[in-house]
Amino acid sequence: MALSKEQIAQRIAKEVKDGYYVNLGIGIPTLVANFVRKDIEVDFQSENGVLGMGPFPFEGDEDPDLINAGKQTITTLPGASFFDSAMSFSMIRGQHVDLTILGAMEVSQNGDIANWKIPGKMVKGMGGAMDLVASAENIIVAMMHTNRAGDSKLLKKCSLPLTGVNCVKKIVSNLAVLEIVNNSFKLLERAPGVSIEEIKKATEGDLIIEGTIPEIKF
Amino acid sequence: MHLLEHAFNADFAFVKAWKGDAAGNLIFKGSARNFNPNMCGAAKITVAEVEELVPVGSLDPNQIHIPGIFIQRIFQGNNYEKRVEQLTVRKRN
Repeated sequence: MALSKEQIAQRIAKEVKDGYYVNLGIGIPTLVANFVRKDIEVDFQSENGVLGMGPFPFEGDEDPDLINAGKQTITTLPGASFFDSAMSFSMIRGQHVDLTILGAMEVSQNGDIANWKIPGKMVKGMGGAMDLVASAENIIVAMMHTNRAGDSKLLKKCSLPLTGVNCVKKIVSNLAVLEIVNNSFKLLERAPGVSIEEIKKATEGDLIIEGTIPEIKF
Repeated sequence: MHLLEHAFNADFAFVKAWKGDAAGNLIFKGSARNFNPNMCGAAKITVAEVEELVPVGSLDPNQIHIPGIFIQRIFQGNNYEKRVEQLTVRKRN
């Protein structure tokens, strides 16, 4: 069975290590915070100017002056701080953020990512994504393997305008966990019950398949 | 490879802060700080709207986010209706 969005987030949460500063993009990445182990210390950064982001507020406790970069109402945890955008992007460009988790419309086998614009459609802008992908040492992409029409989103070359070039390290999709290696998608794990054939069919880019590919464990 | 972005110069900047005094010192609230402090220094004339305009001397200098030198006009707004664009909450147990 292909993974649900929650399960994609749950699998990515395993990549989050003790002491990390982590930036979460809009969509599936936001869900990752719910699955991070409780016995490790992780600080979530939101590029609009919050470090130490907590869970969504309880109903009625929301504060219009406290939102994340996706404009969702949030809370802060003890030790949190607020800062302006220049400070926020100093953290990002200065590589102080350990891990960035983003959604994507397309990823190519050399690690290019397109996640901000579909030509002809209205968008508000790229947001912090361009700075994040240009600076982050470690970028994990959470995405669906194919679009609604069934076309692959893991491509030889992206067709949409790029957000960043040669920057994605790892992809967790609803079908598989893959790593960008030698200009290819290296298959690391597959969703429980999903065959290698299914993954091959859903991947337009070049796949490296070595040995037996274990199923994703949570 | 690098990309040099030149500083942005504006004639006017309009910013919204939480508290301010007649000297133009500003304090922002929560994540509403955002680009506001940066724009204060980027414009020839910065107009600041504050939720609470307090007498000079009543703000703790340690707590000021933007010194008044960057602010040319200040006023207290009223009838605030703060809208939430995306309400995300969790249920109380």
